[in-house]
Amino acid sequence: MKIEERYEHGICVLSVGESRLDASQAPALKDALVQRVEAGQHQLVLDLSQTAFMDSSGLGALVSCLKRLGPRGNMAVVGVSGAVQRLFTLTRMDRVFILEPDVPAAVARLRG
Amino acid sequence: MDWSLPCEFSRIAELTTAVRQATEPVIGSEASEMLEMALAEALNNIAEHGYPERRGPGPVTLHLEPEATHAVTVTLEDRGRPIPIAAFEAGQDGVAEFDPDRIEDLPEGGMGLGLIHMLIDEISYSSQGGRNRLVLRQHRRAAPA
Repeated sequence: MKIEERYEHGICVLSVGESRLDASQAPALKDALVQRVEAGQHQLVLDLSQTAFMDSSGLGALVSCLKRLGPRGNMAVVGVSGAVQRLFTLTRMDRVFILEPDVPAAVARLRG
Repeated sequence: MDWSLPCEFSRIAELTTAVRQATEPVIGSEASEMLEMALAEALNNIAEHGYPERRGPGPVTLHLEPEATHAVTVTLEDRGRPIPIAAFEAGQDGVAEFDPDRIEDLPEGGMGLGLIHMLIDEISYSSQGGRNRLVLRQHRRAAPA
């Protein structure tokens, strides 16, 4: 799982370097996200602008991370388009996740 | 066109992307993207529930039939455990409703069949003599106005 980690205003920004997040990648994605939460990162921005395809198991990994964050944290997803956007819409998970067009917008949103 | 391969998570992408490439000229980008998404969900289900891991990956075959009228039919066959009828029928209503404010109760799975029904124009499923057959027919989407 290719993930690049950086910090903007204390917010953990994770850029996923995978073009597909499917069932073969979902467990590694979930581990990578949960690992950050367990390490104390409760404000996460997940950049999926390099990801062209995601299935429901990839989405399930994001949901799992959101549950782990619970009321203490927040996760924003940025750069979704095409099949990834469609997946969020059809499953109505677009009502659950903070979706922003890019990282600066997501960081601003999480900083309130 | 026909494909045959062991149904395991690591092999699904090669099949769905091949179908995407083969169908895009016939039904267009949007409909073929939706078909790819549905196929990934169907193959995930076969790998996970049809052929549980302890028995190892089982065979799946895919037959693609382009039609002259901007439509394609994909037939997916496997010899694993069939989809329970009740689960298949429940999927006709799409992805089950949930309360977006109750984070702890959000679904992490179980969305595949609902998604397939939302993504595909015509679907049929049968299981006979140990052979399961899912037929997906997808039409070209109307061009945006």
